[in-house]
Amino acid sequence: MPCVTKPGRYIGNELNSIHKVGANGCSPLSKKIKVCLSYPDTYEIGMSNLGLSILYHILNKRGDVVCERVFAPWPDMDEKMKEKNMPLFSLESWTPLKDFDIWGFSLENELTYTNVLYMLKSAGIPFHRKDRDEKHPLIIAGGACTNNPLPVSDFIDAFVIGDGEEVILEIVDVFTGCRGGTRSALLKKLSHIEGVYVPDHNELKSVNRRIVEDINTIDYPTKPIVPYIEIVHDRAVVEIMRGCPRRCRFCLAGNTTKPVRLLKKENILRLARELIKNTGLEELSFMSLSSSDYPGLLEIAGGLGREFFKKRVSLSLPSLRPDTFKTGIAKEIQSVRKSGVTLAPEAGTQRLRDLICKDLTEEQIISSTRNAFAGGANNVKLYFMIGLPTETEEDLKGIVELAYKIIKEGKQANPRAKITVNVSTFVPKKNTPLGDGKMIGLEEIRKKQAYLKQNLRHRGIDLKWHDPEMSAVEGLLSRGDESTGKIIEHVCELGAKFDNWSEHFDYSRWEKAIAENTDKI
Amino acid sequence: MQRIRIKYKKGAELRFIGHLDLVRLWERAIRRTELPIAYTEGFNVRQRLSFGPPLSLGLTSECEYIDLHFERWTSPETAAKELCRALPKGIDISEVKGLFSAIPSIADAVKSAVYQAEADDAEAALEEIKTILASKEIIVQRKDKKKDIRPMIKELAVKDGKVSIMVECSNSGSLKAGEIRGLFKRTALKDLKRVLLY
Repeated sequence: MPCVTKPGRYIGNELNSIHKVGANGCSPLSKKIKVCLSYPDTYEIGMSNLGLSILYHILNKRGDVVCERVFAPWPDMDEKMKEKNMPLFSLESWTPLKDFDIWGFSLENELTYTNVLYMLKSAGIPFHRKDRDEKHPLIIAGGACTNNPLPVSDFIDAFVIGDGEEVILEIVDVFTGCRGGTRSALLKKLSHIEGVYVPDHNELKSVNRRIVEDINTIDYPTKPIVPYIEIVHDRAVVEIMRGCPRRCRFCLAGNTTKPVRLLKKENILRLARELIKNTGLEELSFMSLSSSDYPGLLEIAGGLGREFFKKRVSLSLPSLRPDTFKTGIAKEIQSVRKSGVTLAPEAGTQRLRDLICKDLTEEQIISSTRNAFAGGANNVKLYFMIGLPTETEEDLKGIVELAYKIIKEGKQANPRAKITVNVSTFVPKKNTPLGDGKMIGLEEIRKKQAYLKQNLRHRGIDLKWHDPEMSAVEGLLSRGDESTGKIIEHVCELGAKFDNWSEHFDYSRWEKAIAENTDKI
Repeated sequence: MQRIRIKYKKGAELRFIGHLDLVRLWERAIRRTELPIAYTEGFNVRQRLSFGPPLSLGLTSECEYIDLHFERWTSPETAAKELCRALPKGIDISEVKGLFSAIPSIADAVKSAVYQAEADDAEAALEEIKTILASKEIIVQRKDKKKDIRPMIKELAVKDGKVSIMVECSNSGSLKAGEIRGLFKRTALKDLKRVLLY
């Protein structure tokens, strides 16, 4: 173990991790259902996922369930495991994955699809659901990507579409009821659960998205696991709102998590206090798609910020809309450590912002960034997309001009002002108003990025862009159908893994797999 | 301001947790208690903690030290008791005492460390030790520099069937765990651990 990078990823045993009779120690007569939850990426990314943490807690609360975790082993660990003939094992009890009853994947990013297969392979489990039977774990998946599950429907037995908190327990119940029966009977029963899509038994279009009516009924964990090693989002999280009242036409999250549901103020306060008491974390973050739309949130945050100052816990409020950003509050909530300020104008001209229903004027953008700089922020991050429908050079020029205006105004308020311009490529997602639009091709992505690189040259402006090839693959995977699965499988055979890591992503593999399996793209 | 010094063991559960992660682990454990820890001033606010020399990844230790600064007087025993409740498995507090302000920090006070390891063949190890001690210089590669580590070895012996080595461990230089293992060409050292700091 010492010879792999970050061995801390594989040792488990963190504070608040739950060790029941290890899945390993369950006697064959034990009736406990053994579930393993996973995120098909590294420990640091997977452990930052709130959904996984909620489901881990909900499942382990049940006396008849043991729930453990597994993440994708980094290639060096995978090599070592292969050398020692060690199949993929769970973090808690080091139980081989193939000995679990249910294996759940959280799919939040299409580029992790190859890791699902990589992990199945490492566990010694066949890729295709038709090659698996009662002896293998039931492979299920949930998360944002189930918006279009078809590309991975050859590999996953059942998908949870929508909120998972209630469904997961119904799945366990059905599993218990079907013990000893055939896989096919189990799948049939699962397909009757609302919000569950079983490729073998029901049509995707007949599945209704599952919704937890009132998020105040969710049993949020108050003792989440505290990792030893630094993870991507190393902080306590309170989900203050699910759904988004804004109607941005490109947004997958906003369009697929309706309706808007608020966590009551008393629950926010209770969760926040218990989380800090039980974890000792130095930062607490309020999570939602648009924090400014939670009425009175800034007052709640201000009060908590003062309360937490005693222990120097800082509060962060991501996804604040710039139009609510006021200097005084900015100071209040960032009283301990100054976190950055992020704005997402998405498009460079008013015409295009109006078209995608991004309800923001140039005046609002400029004045709020000026306020942020005046309030002490040194860096403001701006998010833009290229490739939106009807985009012309005028809109790209708009991005450039807007960035220059922001930095010019910002410098007057704070001489150290800097901005980071993040440019991603628009990928039309199903079930959004812009979902039927065309995605721009690789050449066009490169051309538009080149334009921005050429024109956004300023010491105060840092330009970042998404890898064009990765965007193209994301487009393919999020808009694909059942036939796309063949490409994913082919790419895996060519050795693809960790495709959302630029150091592992290899476009030539995808080109080859695409060429051999379709005539698309 | 009050200062207390805690001596603790780092067990096998945490041997793959590096120094920076260990610092964070302590900060979080302290935040889970109600102890009146003092904070630094300035932009990047931190708890006022000071640690001893970092332990190499993969090793356990019998003798790690941490100094905590408190804003109000707190009985060291109470502090230790509260911390024991908040710390994860793998950290065992073995001693606690209040410090006079004149006492230097751990990092400044420590000069040497003693490591111990199991050797698969104690007699062969003894033979090797003779060779090592007889050599005038032992050159190792450190980044792009070469360094003679022979002067840093203060004692090397087999005691109770275990290899025991005392090496320099101070602000001006320390021998690394990998370099200790590397001293032995034929004997594999197992379960290397730090047993003393002084």
